[in-house]
Amino acid sequence: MRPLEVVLHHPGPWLCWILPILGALSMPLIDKLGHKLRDYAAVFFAFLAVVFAASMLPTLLTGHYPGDLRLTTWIEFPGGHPLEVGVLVDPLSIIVANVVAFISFLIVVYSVGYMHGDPCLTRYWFFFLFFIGNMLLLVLSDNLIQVLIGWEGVGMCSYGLIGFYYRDKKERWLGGPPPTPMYPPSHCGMKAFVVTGVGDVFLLAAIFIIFHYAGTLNFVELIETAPKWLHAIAHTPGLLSLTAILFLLGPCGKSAQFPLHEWLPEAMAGPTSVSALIHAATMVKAGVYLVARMSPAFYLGYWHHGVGEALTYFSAIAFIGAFTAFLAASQALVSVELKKILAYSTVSQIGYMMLALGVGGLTEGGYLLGLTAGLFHLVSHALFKAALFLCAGSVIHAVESIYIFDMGGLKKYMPITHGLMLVAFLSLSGIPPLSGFWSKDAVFLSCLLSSEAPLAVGLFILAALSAALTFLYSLRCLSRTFYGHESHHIEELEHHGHHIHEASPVMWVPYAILVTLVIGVGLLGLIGLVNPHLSPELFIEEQMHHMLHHLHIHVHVEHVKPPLKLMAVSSSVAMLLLGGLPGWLFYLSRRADPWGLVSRSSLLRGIHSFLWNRWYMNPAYYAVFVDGLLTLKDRVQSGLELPLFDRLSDAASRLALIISGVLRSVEDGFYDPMLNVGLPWAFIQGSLSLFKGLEREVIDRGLNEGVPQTAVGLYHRVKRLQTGVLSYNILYIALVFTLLILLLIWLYPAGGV
Amino acid sequence: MYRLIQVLVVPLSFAPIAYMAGRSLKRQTGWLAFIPLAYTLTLLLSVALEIAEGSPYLEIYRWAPEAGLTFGLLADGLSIWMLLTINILCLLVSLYSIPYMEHRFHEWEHETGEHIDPRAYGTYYALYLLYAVGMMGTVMATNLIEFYLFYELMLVPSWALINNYGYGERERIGMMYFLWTHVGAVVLLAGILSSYWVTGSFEIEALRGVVGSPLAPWIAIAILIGFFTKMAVFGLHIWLPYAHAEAPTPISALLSPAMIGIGAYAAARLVIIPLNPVARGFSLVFSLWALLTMVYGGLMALAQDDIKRFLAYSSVSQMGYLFLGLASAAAYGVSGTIFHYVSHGLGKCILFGVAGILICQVGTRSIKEMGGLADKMPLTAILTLLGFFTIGGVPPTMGFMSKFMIFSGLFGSALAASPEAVAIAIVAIVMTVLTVGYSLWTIRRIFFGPLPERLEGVEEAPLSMTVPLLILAVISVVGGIYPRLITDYLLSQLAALLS
Repeated sequence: MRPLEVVLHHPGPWLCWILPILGALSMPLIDKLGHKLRDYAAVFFAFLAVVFAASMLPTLLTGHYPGDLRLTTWIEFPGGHPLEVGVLVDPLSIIVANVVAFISFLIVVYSVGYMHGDPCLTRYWFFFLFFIGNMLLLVLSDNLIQVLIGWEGVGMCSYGLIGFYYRDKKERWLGGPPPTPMYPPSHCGMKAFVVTGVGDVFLLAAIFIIFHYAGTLNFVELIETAPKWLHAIAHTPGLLSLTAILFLLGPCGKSAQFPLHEWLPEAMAGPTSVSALIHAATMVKAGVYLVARMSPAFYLGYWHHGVGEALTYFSAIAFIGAFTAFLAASQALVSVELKKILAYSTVSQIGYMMLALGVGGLTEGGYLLGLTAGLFHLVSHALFKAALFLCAGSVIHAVESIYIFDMGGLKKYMPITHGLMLVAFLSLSGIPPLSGFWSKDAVFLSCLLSSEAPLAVGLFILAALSAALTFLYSLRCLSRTFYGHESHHIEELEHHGHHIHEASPVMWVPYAILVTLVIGVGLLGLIGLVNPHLSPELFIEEQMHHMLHHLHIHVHVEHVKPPLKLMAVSSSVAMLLLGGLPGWLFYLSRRADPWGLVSRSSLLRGIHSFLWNRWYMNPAYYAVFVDGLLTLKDRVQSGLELPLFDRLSDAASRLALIISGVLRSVEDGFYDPMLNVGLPWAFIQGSLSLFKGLEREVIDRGLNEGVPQTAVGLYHRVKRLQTGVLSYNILYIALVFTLLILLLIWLYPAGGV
Repeated sequence: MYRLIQVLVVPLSFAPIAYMAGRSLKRQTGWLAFIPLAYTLTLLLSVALEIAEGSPYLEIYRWAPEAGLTFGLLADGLSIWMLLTINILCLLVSLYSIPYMEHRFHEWEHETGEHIDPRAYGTYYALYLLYAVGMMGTVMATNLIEFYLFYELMLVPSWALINNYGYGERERIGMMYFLWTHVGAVVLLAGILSSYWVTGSFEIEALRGVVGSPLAPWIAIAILIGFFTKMAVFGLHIWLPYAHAEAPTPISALLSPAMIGIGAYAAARLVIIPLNPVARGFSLVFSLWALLTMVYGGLMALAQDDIKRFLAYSSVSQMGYLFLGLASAAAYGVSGTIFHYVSHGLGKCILFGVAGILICQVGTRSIKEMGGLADKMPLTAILTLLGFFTIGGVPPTMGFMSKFMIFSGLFGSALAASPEAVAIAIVAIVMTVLTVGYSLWTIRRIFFGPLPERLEGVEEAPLSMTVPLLILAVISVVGGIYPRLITDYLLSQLAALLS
């Protein structure tokens, strides 16, 4: 089929990312027509993405999704498969693409209110729409290169939007309060790009290794030929494990997982709408998506073809996920910036998704469930976390501060936002029957299912503890924001006549819709207990099963025994109690003062400062990579470049003086001294004499005396013509070379052409 | 017919015209450089279309038949990209030079109080054209004597340009530049002459005959050292930051992107391809050396405050990438080298152009004295970002694909070779973060943050300066989205040459 026909036949998967990109490019032009028009155009382009993404949904229900659609050859590799531009339309990509497009649209609408009046909106819309396009491209690509292009594209937008307030005015700085360092937005954007960039290059390394052995980068081909290339890589002991880990580091960077998680908290320097979309709901899920996308290959390799090292892929990501979930949840406990609490929470929740994908592959029967749980949690988290961020945006907008100690008692001022944020927080904490409960339950269940692997038990304990922490920090955040007394800051605002009020409908309606969906998905989960056809989890499971079937992977689906399910639910409840009890004491009933407790015990103080300093990872990274690099460059400059190479060069110029002296003394007999031109001229002469020598060597022997004689004669004439002003000489140089070439070539064709 | 010779002769014959017309045309003399270069570009494009059908395009002229010397001009899948890049850069920089050199001369008059000789414009463009001819001739040459001739022709006018129109201690630095490159050229000559001793021919084609001779590694090394000096790889790099920083900025925008990379092309042409078995033997050492060049250049770039010195060191680092592709001695890697020459050419030309804009509009080269300029010069800021993305290999710019190919080749040959080679490859790819790091840091220091009060009056550059750069940026993005334009030529040609 010709490219155009491919697109016309299945417009959805193509247009849904092409149109937002075109929209982004047209923003500066539309801006010329009017600001209002530009804003509506942005909403319109985002809406088109929703329409075309949704046009793929029916294929999901019928089961006849188009699969891999290839447009045209992008690069031809001699001896390898050609790399084609294509989209892969299967349940995984359809589901994620719809989540992305839908949430993007809601946040675009929210932005119209939130960013109202910003003078740089054109830039904002450009990056925003460009992001939507690239994110959908990433999700729908059928090969790793295209994924990487979308991947870098969203990274670029993330960089541009985190650093959106590039003027770095003090009120936009993040971090603190002093003495904790504060970072300006442009620094934060750079940090995000560089840290994720580190992940990207590791990912690239893995891709090169895979490409070397597989000869293709198309997902379908990669999965079909997985046993072959996995065996080939595994032939060198250790190489496959290395490849798997290098590969995973890319998703770790993008999805802010340990050890590359430190950029996400700083990414909150951007506008809140950006944090909601890019740094909570969509872009940071790209890593999860990619891990899920490649997992069938490794599953096939280990469980069906006995490539031992392929298991590293799963055990590594399971470990990373569980550890990150705990690490970030613990940091969220002490953070004082509203958005940063949510950012840590995002990191922690993505850890759950990674964990689910990882533990799934640890047993043969658990794979489908793990994949399902990961994807289900991705969807459900996207809904409630986007809602949380949008609420937080309204709150920050209202109180003009990023710190939770500047809030408090907002419930009466912002009742709608309070209600919606409460539901979203409860969903995050996993309170039944909200969506978060079901998806977290699925993650727990897949951990328990693979508990025959010794690693899984430990991971489950970490994950469960993180759930308790999640509830605790949710309560803290809620209470500090909405309950209790108004802070000093609010009183001052009110005193200065700045009345805190509810957000405008254009802002709260989008998050109201998200919260409704959170409740809806939760209720469907509840109904699913009775009627399994309506269970969202079972729906996703069925779709994943379908997809794997299409890829010719026949998974053995383990029937989950009721006791296991019961164990998952009861551990969920236990963890809620474990987290909820102190939460109730500290933050709801306020019977105990957490800060008083901490300041009285040196152990707790130690823990607090450990958490406050982000387990000392952030300072350590700065010390090693930033300060280290800056010191190193000074050392290299002052220790190597200046003392060694510069001196070498000086020595060379002294040598030049000697040589030129010799040359000059030779030439003094024939020509006027050329003091006016100085030493460089001597070197031109040197090179010209060299030509002369060459010409003699080559051409004299060829009896072709006339040409070089003329040239040399001219050369001598030129020299006599020298008058001392260099610019005059230039003409003669020009003439010499023109004539040298023209004469030497002796312009007549001797054949060829 | 006669197309490639015209590519040399037409600009060459415009050189004296430009010189003579300079007195009356003044700044508009630039058009006398633009016209012949525009003409040669159309010629080259027509040649490129012909090559697309498969066979290389060769013109042979009689030179010294008795000595078995012919004057051949070759455009094939490899050289055509070099030619097009050089031509496009020279063409656009000739436009860019018009406002820039006027500014330079005004500044000069202001500084010295002397009146500028009206012929200065003519001299500048005459040299400029000669320089362009030198570069294109080097790329097209088919025999070693011809190659050497053009190689020197490339050097002399560029020296004169630095010496006449540069900044700072231009005479001393001009000499330093001349000397270093010349010493390299002499070593190269030694290699060339010894190859003649072995094969009895000066044809580049005949270099294959060197393989198997006990002299082969020595010849390879001699020739390569010559080119490494040109490329300014680690250890042979000291002249580069001085020359590129103190050259008049349009010339920096040709020296750095167009000229030094020719060293890499020539190394591929003269050694990596014909002496492939020998080159493979050096693979590990060269990749280490390349890695060192990348890292060293990157670190030194971080240490600079002068924006032009910063860009110059960044070029050293980027030459490390070209070197890395060469070190792989495989089709992918060498294609990547040529491809990255194109990307780096576009990107670095944009960046030097931006440096020139900053010199004209802000009046300083010190990064410390800048800041917050994105407000005042949004277009320049976007150009800078695109320039850095191109050299840093961020899609959708061309740099992404070219780096992809370099590393694809490197990993391919490393995986077939040894664990050490794989380790070097992984370290090398991780070190690419350094490029992103110094790029973003510099962007941030120049364009973001609060605007210092003394820069309140800064204005966006005139379109005559930004439009040429914008065209380069567009080419970079188009090439990034549709790399087949370039890779198809390169890969099939190299696969044929290396098989």
